[in-house]
Formats: sequence, structure tokens, C-alpha cells
Amino acid sequence: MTTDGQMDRRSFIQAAGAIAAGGALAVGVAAYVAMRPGAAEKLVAHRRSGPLPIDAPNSEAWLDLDHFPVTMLMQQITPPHPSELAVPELWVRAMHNGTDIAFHLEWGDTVVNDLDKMVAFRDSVAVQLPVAPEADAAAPKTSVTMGLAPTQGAPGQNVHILHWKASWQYDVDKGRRTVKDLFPNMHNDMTPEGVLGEANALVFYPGVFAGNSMSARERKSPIEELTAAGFGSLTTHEKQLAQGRGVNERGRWRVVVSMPMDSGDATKATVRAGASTPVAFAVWNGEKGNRGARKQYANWVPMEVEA
Amino acid sequence: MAEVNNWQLGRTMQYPYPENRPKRQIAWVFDTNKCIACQTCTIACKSTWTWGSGQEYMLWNNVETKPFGFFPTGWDVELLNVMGPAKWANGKLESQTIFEGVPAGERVKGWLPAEEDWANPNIGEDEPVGVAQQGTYIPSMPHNEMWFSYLARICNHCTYPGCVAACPRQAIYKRPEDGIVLVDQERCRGYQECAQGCPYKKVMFNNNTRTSEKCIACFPKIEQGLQPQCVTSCIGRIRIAGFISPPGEVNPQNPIDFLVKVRKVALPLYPQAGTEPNVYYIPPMHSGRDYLHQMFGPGSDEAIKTYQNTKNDPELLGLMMLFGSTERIMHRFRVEGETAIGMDEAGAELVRVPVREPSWVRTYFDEVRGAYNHNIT
Ligand code: SF4
Ligand code: SF4
Repeated sequence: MTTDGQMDRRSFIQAAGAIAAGGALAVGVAAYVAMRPGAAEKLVAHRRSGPLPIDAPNSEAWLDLDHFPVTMLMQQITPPHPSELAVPELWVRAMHNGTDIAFHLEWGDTVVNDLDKMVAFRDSVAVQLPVAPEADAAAPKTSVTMGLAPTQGAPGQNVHILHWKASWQYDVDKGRRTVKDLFPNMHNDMTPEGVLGEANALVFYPGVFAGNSMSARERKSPIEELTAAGFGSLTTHEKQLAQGRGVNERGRWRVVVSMPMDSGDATKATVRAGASTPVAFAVWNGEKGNRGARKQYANWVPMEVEA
Repeated sequence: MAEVNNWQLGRTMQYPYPENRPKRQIAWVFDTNKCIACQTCTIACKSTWTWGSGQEYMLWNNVETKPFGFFPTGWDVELLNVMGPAKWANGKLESQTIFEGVPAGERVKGWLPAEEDWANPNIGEDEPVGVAQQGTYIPSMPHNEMWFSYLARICNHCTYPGCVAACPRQAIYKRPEDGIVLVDQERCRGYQECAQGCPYKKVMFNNNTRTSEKCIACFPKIEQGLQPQCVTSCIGRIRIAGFISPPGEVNPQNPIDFLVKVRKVALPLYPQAGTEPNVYYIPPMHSGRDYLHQMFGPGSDEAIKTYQNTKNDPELLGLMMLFGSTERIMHRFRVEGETAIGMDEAGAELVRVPVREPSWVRTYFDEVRGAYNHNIT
């Protein structure tokens, strides 16, 4: 599907196939996208009063807003690169209520990849904000819109990242999945916890023991807050406050990520009503082997935050 | 890219990070000729480190039958596909390593085995090359049409690890104190780039914790001067672990140096990959020689010759008898007459063994009982 609701050749063939298979679903897909309001010319975080619809990516409150189309690029600045452009465009909507800011991110993906598994990768999306845009802007050869390092900040230019992961959404929705969910026919006749008890068995789960966020057994939010200052420096933030939810229906992911506008933490981004802030995005398509630097990214775009 | 010295290739090579050798490097020698594929090592490792859920498929140590056994399936075939055949001239590698001629957008030449490739750890067991017909017999060794051999494998704790080169987060590191290569369980984000980049396929993704894991060389044992589990449990006494001197230095009293640098009887596995692996193999003397050239490089014929002369080489023979004789790391050895002695770092004696174990050859016919002494096993 292209942004204006026209079908490209491939999705037309897919849609035709679905119709031929007896489903009215393909017609639904066309209508589903076409009924949407038009594309916005600039990215605006609209002011709302009361709670934001952070749990409802399909709600009218979101879909009534014009989407801002962001052109995604293959990450080719540092290896490893993705092998193809798997997600050419991301639709962004934003809202705030003076306390929290929320982003609605939407893109086409017909294959849901929501498991972290050997030789398999998850779908995910990330929003990135500069921690100190004024300082970055003042630095030589940088400007708020163009000069900031396009991916994951740079030494001395910290960024704050909100990373939603389909696999974490699975954990939140259905409970943390086990090896049995990945391999239904597997059998394990003896586990450390069975022999030693949970507490003593923890050393046999090194990621859990080390406190790695990937390995966390309790998952409260599908979104991870991270900081970075250049490639390879991505680090989980000590304070996790981001919330949101993602769903995939009819071949599209719709994901809401939200965070406090001012968490009072100097290592996180602060968003002020009535100001403009640069924001950048990244999307991963698990089916295509996307993970880490094998991703689609977008350059900084300015976002107006309504007063 | 930095230019680094890889002594196994007889040349320098390109590597993403500058040469930075550890203070000392742990290394192993495996005598493939003595391995019986009993998998005791595999189970020793499994029951020590990888019996958690999420690690079901992991075998940090595995033993495969060559040429038709592999874990994961076809790993070495894929490696040769990725690199092409090795070309050597006068001990120098002329072909490219996994770090050279890398396609745009990749960090190393690698591949990710499919899920099912991990599902058959003992595929090809005991399958020989060639088909035995009625009346087939093997008149002499090596026999190019009819052979198989066992290859015990662990992580090579490479000097230039492919896994380290592939990780975009520098979440894998080589310990300066002993050269052990470890995945930082705090930093790993489960990208599996290491699993893709390791030419030996010795990094594995934990399906429960969602991070990558690999052989840790039993570092808690090594820190106490003990050899790893796979070494001390080996039924065939095919293994020895110790520290190898850096390139250009040789200590003939050091067991690893003696085998690798003095007698040159033990060789790295697929050195053409360029990682400078630190597990050294005494090649299987009955296997196809062309195959061995590809697998162990140009020194394999000479190594086998030296090995076959062991009975006339008291020092080598004595050292071979010291394999599997002590749990402690042997830093030095000497042979005195009919006794081989292993020593610790301070020179204190750890163990002494006879160079030749007493043996008795039964007579063909037992006169007392009037019976033939058949081998009835
Ligand atoms: S064998 Fe593989 S996992 Fe082990 S150090 Fe070498 S490249 Fe890394
Ligand atoms: S324990 Fe020793 S003899 Fe047995 S399979 Fe392992 S390496 Fe071979």
C-alpha cells in the first residue's frame, strides 16, 4: 500500500489473491487505509486535556488525526546494514496533555514477528529525542533539524530512545513466553529450578542474573527507555516510565508510545508545550532479519508541541 | 580496519580492532586419533553449564564425525562456501579470511544457520566416506576412499574472534588476563550477529533469556589453576589445556608450546578463517589427506609424520602420556628416563606417569587349558 491509499503492484496482487481465496478481507484493507484523513504537512503534537489514549492505538482519537508521513531510509552509515528497505514509510501522530506526550506510529507489515527466538527477530519501532537539543544546536556544525547525528546520537550528544518491541508486547499481553511457546513439542526433563529451587537456579539464567532488560521475567511495559551517545552505545535507562501498546491488524502495526514530558531527569529528554523539538524514528521488520543496526531510520524532523 | 599479525597465516591480515594480545592465552590440544566419540565431554559441559531452559539445543562442546557429521548441520561446508577453498603458498595464506573482502554492509563474512540445523547434533555419526561392498577391505592407511574420524569441538577462544568483530555493540570481549572470550550478559541485546559471524558456530542464542551465550572455558576453574570440565572428564585422555606463549616466543618445557611450536604436531582448525583459534588438533592420521589440508592447513602431513614417530620420540611420548593425568593446569613438563613429570606454574610437581605402561601380549594358544586365546570382545 502506498501512502495515498493507492495499491502498488505487489499489494494489489496480494489483495487479488485474498479475494480469489474467497475473503472480503482485501477490500477491507483498501477501505481501512483509504478512509483515513489525509497526510499532515508537519508533525504536530496536539494538545488534549485529560488522559491520553495510550492503550488504544485503534481509537478514533488517534485515527481522526492527520498522519505525518516519515520517509524511512535503510541504515547504511555503519555496518551491519539491512539487505533491503523493508519499511519505506512510517506514519506518525502525536498528542500531549501538558504532562505526558504520546506518539502513534503506524506502518505496513503483513507478517507479525513477536518472538525473540534463535534465528528469528521481532518487529519493533523507536522514537528518539535529544536530551539537550539547545546544547546540540549550539555545538559547531550542528543544527536542530539536520546536524544531529541521525542515528543514536553521538559522543557528547545524548539521545533518549523509546523502543517498543512486538515481543515485549507479547509478554505484556499473554505473559512472558517460555521455550514451550517457541517450540511446542519440546521436552525438558530436568531444569535447574526443579532441582535447586527458583532462587538457587538463577545463576543458570545468566541474562536474568545479570539484570539484562532482554531477560526480565516481569514485563510491565512493552516499551524500553534507553539512552545512547553514538553507535553501539545503547544502554537501558535506570528509570523505566514509558508506556504504550501496539497491535497489528490487517497488515499494519499501530503502536502508541508515551512518556512524561518532564521526568525531572537530566539524562532524559524534556518536551515543552509551545516549543519545537527534533524527533527521529527507526523501524525494524523481524521477518527481514532486521535487528540492531539492520533497520530503517529517519532523519530528525521538527515537531511542534502545541501550547 | 587494522592490520594485525596472524602467525597461523604467515602474514598480516585485516581485522576491525588493533592487535591486542592478552597477558596470556589459554589454549588446548586435542588428539583426534584418541577420541572415541563417547560424548562424555559433551555431557560434562552440558550438565555443568547449559541445563537451563532456553539452552536445550546448546552444546558448547560437541563431538562430530567427519566428514558427514556436523553441529550445526553443515557448518564447515557453509564456512568453505563463504570463504572459498584456502590457498596456501610456502606456509602463507593467499586466500582471504572472513575479515577480508567482506561484502558491503557486513562486518564479517558469515551466515546464520537455520533453526533445524541445530536439531541433529549427532548427524552422520560413524558414517565413513565411501561405500563398503561385499569384500571391501582396507589394505593400508590412510585410505582415501574409506575413512572417518572424530572431531571434538569447543569455542576456540580465538585471538581475533569473529564473534567480537561481528558484534556492533562490543558486548563480547576477550579477557586480558587469559584470553577467554565472553559474552557480556549485561550488554548483549540478542542481535545474534555473533552467531552469524563466528566461523565455528560456537555462539548460541538462549531462547529463554534472549541473549547469546557461548563456552566460557570454565573460567572459574581456570582461575583456580584447574583445567576445564571437557578436558578433565575426557575418557580418551585426548585433551590438555594450558597457556600458549605469544607468537615469536617458545618455551619447550611448556606442553602446549612443545606440541604446537616445537614438534608442530598440533594444528589450528580451519586457520584460513583468520580468527587465530586457540584449540589445536593433532590431525586424524587415517583420514583423507586432501580433506585434512583444507581442515588443518599445509602442516597436516608433517604433523601426522611426527605423530606416527611418537614411539621413537621420548619427549613427545612422555607428554602424550601426561594428557588427562591431572586436573591441574600443567605449565611445564619433563621426561626423565621412563617417567614423565608435569609441573605447575611454580615448578612444583603435579604428577608423574610412566612413559610406557606395562603391557602383556597373550599367547595365541593357552597350553595349560588347551584353548585358543581369541579376542572375544
Ligand atoms: S570460536 Fe567463535 S565464538 Fe569462539 S572466540 Fe572464536 S569466533 Fe568467538
Ligand atoms: S570425552 Fe574425550 S574421548 Fe570422549 S568424545 Fe569427548 S573428546 Fe572424545
